[in-house]
Amino acid sequence: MARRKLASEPPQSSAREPWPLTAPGPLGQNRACGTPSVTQKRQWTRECCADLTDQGGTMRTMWTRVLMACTLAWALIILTHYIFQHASYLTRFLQYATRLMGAA
Amino acid sequence: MSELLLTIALVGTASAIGRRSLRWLRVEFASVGEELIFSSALGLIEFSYLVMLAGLVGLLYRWFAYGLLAVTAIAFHRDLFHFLTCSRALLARTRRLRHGQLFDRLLILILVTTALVSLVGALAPPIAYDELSYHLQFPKEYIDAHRICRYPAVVWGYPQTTEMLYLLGMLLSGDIVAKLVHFTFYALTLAAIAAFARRYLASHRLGLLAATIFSSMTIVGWLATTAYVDLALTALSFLSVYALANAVLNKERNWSLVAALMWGAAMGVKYTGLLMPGIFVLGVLIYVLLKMEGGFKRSAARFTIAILIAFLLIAPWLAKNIAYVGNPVYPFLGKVFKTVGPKGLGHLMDEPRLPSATERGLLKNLLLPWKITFEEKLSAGADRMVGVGPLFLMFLPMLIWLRPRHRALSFLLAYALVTFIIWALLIPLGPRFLLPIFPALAVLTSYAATRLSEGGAIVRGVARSALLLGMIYPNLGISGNRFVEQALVVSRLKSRDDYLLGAFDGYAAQKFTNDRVIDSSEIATTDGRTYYLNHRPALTGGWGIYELNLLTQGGHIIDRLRQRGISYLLTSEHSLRVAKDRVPTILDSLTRELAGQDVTILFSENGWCLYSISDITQERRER
Repeated sequence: MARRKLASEPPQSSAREPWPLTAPGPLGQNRACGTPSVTQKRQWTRECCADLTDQGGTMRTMWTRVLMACTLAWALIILTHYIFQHASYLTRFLQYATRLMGAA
Repeated sequence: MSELLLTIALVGTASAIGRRSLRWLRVEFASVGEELIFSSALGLIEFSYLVMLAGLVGLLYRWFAYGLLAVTAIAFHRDLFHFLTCSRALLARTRRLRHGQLFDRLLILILVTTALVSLVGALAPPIAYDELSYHLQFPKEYIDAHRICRYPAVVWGYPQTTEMLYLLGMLLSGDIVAKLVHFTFYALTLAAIAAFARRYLASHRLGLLAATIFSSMTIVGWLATTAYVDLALTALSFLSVYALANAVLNKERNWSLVAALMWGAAMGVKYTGLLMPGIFVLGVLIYVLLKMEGGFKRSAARFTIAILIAFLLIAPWLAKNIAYVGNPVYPFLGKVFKTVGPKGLGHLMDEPRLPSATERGLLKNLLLPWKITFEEKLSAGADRMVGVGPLFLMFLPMLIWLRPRHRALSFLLAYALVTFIIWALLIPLGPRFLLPIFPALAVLTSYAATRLSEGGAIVRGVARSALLLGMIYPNLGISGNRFVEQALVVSRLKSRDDYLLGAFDGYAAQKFTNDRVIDSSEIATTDGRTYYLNHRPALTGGWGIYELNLLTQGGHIIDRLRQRGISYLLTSEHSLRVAKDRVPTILDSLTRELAGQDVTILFSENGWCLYSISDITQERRER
């Protein structure tokens, strides 16, 4: 099977994420794709996923920090509202857990 | 345990035949996992249509099911061996995930727990509404008749691609394998989410997080325990979009044929597949046609083939409806096709159950995501609330300012937006009908939450805690009692009968009817959940009370039933309660008639009643 094109290759978003190492061979056997060169990785990153790698330091601007704080606040508001609206879930769970512990 | 092994054998052989077909289509895979996912999905589709063909010629016997698996395994033994080798390699690779960070390990814990809880539910006998009404009821009828035959319920007109797989599972062993087939589509969706994230975002963690988000949704967890068709539709829709992404983003044009195949199968699973993901898939296929290199003629030919493939997969179900009732999309568009059969039922089905987009107004339409999160919950009839959960609403708004430049994410965002708008405008039903976009939304949510975590240690800590709480909290609503009951019946510590008597309110009534009513008697039911009834009802369906309404046409319902030779009527409190909201006058009339002297009540328990309709005609009563 032919090696995949560069455009189909994913970026290496962090040091922890390994580059895909294998691809299926023509008879179902895997074979190594090989490690892409640094130039290839940079090209891919520039073209496809600049926003993933935080290369331009965009997350460090004040405006981004404000937006991030707002987003986090929004997420917490939604979560809190959800938990209060479904408070019966927690009550039910605690009742059930207490009963289980009592039975044990 | 035997059911699990049979399901693995079924998926393994399906994967073998699917892999051979994909090699014939000359598509290239980025990973072994991707190959396994698409092979299994395509193989299951192929099995479904083989069973349908067998049903048309009257071959629905147990020997056929085992023969199909055996012949496939022998003919494609190399591909089957490949499936086993790759599965083992993938399992070995997942073990490495245990050595990840604490957050990753917590995600794995949530994913495994939710999957195991769903698996236990899938291994328990069926009790949910639609599976007892038709998803398992039709296969049961077909197996009894050894062929595909007419069934007296409106919902019989729905496409039945998944039901053919359930039929195969029921032939192999029983309804548990059928439920496990639906669970397989849930597992395929999780794997597809992870494979997509790995291929396009090169991140195991994003894939793991997205799969966990999807799995932690209570609507998904509950559906995975049932033999509904929604997770099959979701898996095939997402695979269709995945294949389209490969065709468009990587310019691997053969993937467009795979996308068409998956879309066609999605249409065969549920009518809504025609629009969701149909509109998006069709739009992208046209884009591929216009942008394709190699001349317009060649591109047009490939496009035509793709569309033909897609419609060939739903064509048998349309043809079945034309042959039996004269309306290809029965029970919809009854006015257009002047539906024959139970008069006017098509008209009833044309009526939306929730206000349409135009009736809702602009503000309410814009607030739909809020409404889905906080207001529209589906009660499954069991003591377990199922919903979408808060995670989408918590993190997806972030995409407005984040504006992801990644093409794969933009592709998913476009799919989710187009499909959401179609749902809001044309399919005014509950969030279950929006399920096909949830895998895409899970990937986008995972991406947004990950980006939020980049804002420093404190922000990361708060964001991750909120994520975990948003996944865990909705699952606290799951009934512990129900899970224990399921675990007991799965581990054989409780009998199937005892479990069903406690879990399904109509089981006692149907058991009584099976024991006391002779086989030759005709029965009508107002409730569609007749799976445990040995008698083939002469009139039934989830719309039973409407059918009774239309049959009577202003006359006495009981007399009309008698004229059809029906001697017994089985009613349930649920079906009458639904009728109270929709056709109160008919319900009043029926209640009066059932309280009359010429009707004898034989059984009454858990809101279910069995009536004997005595042989007194209208004329005698009038005299």
